[in-house]
Formats: sequence, structure tokens, C-alpha cells
Amino acid sequence: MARLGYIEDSGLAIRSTFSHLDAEKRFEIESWARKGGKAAFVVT
Amino acid sequence: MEVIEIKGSQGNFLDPPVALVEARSTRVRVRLDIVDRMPKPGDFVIVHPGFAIHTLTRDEARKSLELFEDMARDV
Amino acid sequence: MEQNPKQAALEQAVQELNMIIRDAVSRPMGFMEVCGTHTMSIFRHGIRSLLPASLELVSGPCCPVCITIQVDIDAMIGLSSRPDVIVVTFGDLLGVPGSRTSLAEAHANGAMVEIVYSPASGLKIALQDPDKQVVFLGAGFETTASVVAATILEAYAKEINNFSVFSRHKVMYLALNALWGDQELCINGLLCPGHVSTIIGAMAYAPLCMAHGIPCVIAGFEPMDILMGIHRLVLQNLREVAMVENVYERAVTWEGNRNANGLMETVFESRG
Repeated sequence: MARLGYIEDSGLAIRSTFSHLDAEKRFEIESWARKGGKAAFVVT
Repeated sequence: MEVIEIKGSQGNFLDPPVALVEARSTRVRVRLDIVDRMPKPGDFVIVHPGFAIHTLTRDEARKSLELFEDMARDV
Repeated sequence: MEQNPKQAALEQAVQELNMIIRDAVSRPMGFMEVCGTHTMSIFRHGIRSLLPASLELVSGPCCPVCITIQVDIDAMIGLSSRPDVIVVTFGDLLGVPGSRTSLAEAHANGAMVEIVYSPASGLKIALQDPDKQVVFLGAGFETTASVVAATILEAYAKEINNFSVFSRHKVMYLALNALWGDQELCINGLLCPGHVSTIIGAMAYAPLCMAHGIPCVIAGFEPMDILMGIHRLVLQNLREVAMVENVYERAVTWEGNRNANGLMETVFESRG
């Protein structure tokens, strides 16, 4: 119902002070993946 | 849930504040880091995944129950 | 559930409040219950069947599970498939389908997924297993986000560096605002959730209420709470006003839980 793009923009990110506790930065989950690619993620 | 006992203080993340609470004769520990007002034994807390999020005094808790009962009478 | 005089009085009140709502609804109205907990309570207590046919209740999209988008689930599954990672989550994310599989399926295939009741348990797991990176999957709104904020601050203070959070928390009013991006959405009021509002405060709904002229009533999760909430929504519609009302005053204040908001402000920033 709601557009997912908007919903995604309504999120909370972890501040850089705590970046070592941020799994997204730690594992570099690639952001291109969120644009809807197939097998939509890469964890490095 | 009724608060039985309190340990620690807010803002100290090395020794986070914890309350022993009781509901329906089951006792569990809940964290008090995010609660708006530190409870005292005898107060009541509303709990969300293991953390108290709101403190009510016994009076406030009773009042809310009475409110329900009043409505039951008035409606 | 045990039956006592109080309970009987409550049940009678519920029935009678229903009659009032029935009489008041003279034209079709649709309300959205924003929160999954309301949806479940409405279902469990058979509230829908008590309401007049002209009153429609629409389930909102704002349960932690429904607002976690597929690619994020995919990323979570990706994390869980790493041999050096233990994924820690609330149980409700397990069955949510990603594009190809779910966390439950990944778990069945050997991925390390631990279900916890509180994110603080993730820290214990991290201490017990220092060779693994323990990743808590953060989904849900401000209630969960503030609990996670406290957990992150604890990990930071205790220097537990093999703990991290994959933050997909959402901000309630932004998510609700997003709903109005959909032109087909035609509702006459929002039944706003209890616990989230305890944190964000009733005031958080004011911009939404004003911008879209939508009545907002904050209600608790008991049948009586929900019916009181619906009753107020009906009244606002009949009076053709839109305002924020709070029928969950025992848990929700106008300005919310300042301590929790402070912790969130310390740890999180708005995405996008």
C-alpha cells in the first residue's frame, strides 16, 4: 500500500560515533542492492 | 507489573539499572535504561521487550483501573 | 482468563460502548488501526463483529514485519549465511519471506539465527562467543529503537566490539506520512498505537493530523481502550473536526518519554 521508497526513507541509521557497532558499515552491505537488483544484496 | 526491587542507576551503561518486577506471581528482571521516570518499589511499569518504558505510581495504576470501572458505570 | 466482578463490569461496559458506536455511525466510515498489536487484539476479542457494518477497520502497514522491505530481509539472510556471524532477532522476523528464502529457512539450512526476547540478550551471546560477530536485526518503530539504543550504548560502554546492529528501524510519523503518498488511501481516522506513543508522545501525530486533516486517537490495547478510541474517532467525524486525542493517558503523555528520545537521539540519525 505505502510506497516502499518512502517507507525506506523513514528509517533510522546508526550515528558514525557507533559505526563499529553498525552491521551495515561493518559488512558493507551494498546500497545499490536496495534499488531492486536480483539476489538483491552483497555482503562483503 | 509491580516493581519489587531496584538495582543500579540510569545512565550507567557499565552497570545498567534493573528492576525485579512481578505480574501474576511471576517475577522477571527488566531493564530501566529507557524508562521516563525511575520507579520505586511498589510502583508499576509498562514493559516492552525486556525494558520498562513507562512508570506509574500505585495511585496512577489504580486510577486507570477505576477509570475503566467508572466508564462501566457511566456508559 | 479468570472471571471476576471487575471483568464482568468491563465486559458489560464494552458491550454498551459498542451500542453507542453503533448508534453514532450514521454514514460509512473507515478507520485504520496503525499497529499490528491493535489488529491482533481486535481479532482476538472479536471486536470487528461487534461493530456496525458501515464502520470499516483497515489494518495499517505498521507492524515491524510488514514495514521491513524484502531487500532488507535478503540482506539479513545474507548476514546469517556468513560463518562468522550469529544473527540475533525477535521471532517475528523469522518467517518473513525475502526474495528467495526466509530467515527460518536459512536457519534450518544451518545459518546461526538466535531468537531473543530482548536485544540485551544479544550482548550476552556476544560475550559468550567472542570469535563470532553477533548482529541484532533492528526492525520496528521507536519503542524497539530506544531499547536498541540503550543496548548499543551498553555495548559501547563495555567495549563489546563483536556486537553490532543492522538498523532498519522506522520513524512512526514518517512511515505514516508515507501512506499519504498513496492516492487510493481513503480513511477517516487513525487509531494510533499505545507503546510507540508512550515513547514519541501524542504530540508526534499533530503534524500528520494537521497536514491531512485526519483524526488521530491514541489508544491502549485492551478491548475497552480500542472501543474508546473508535468512539472518539466516530465523534470527531460526526463533528467534522480532526485532532489528536489520547485515550491511553495512563501510559502516553503529550510530549512522550524524554529519556528514551534522548537515547535515540544519541545513537540514531534519520536516514534519507
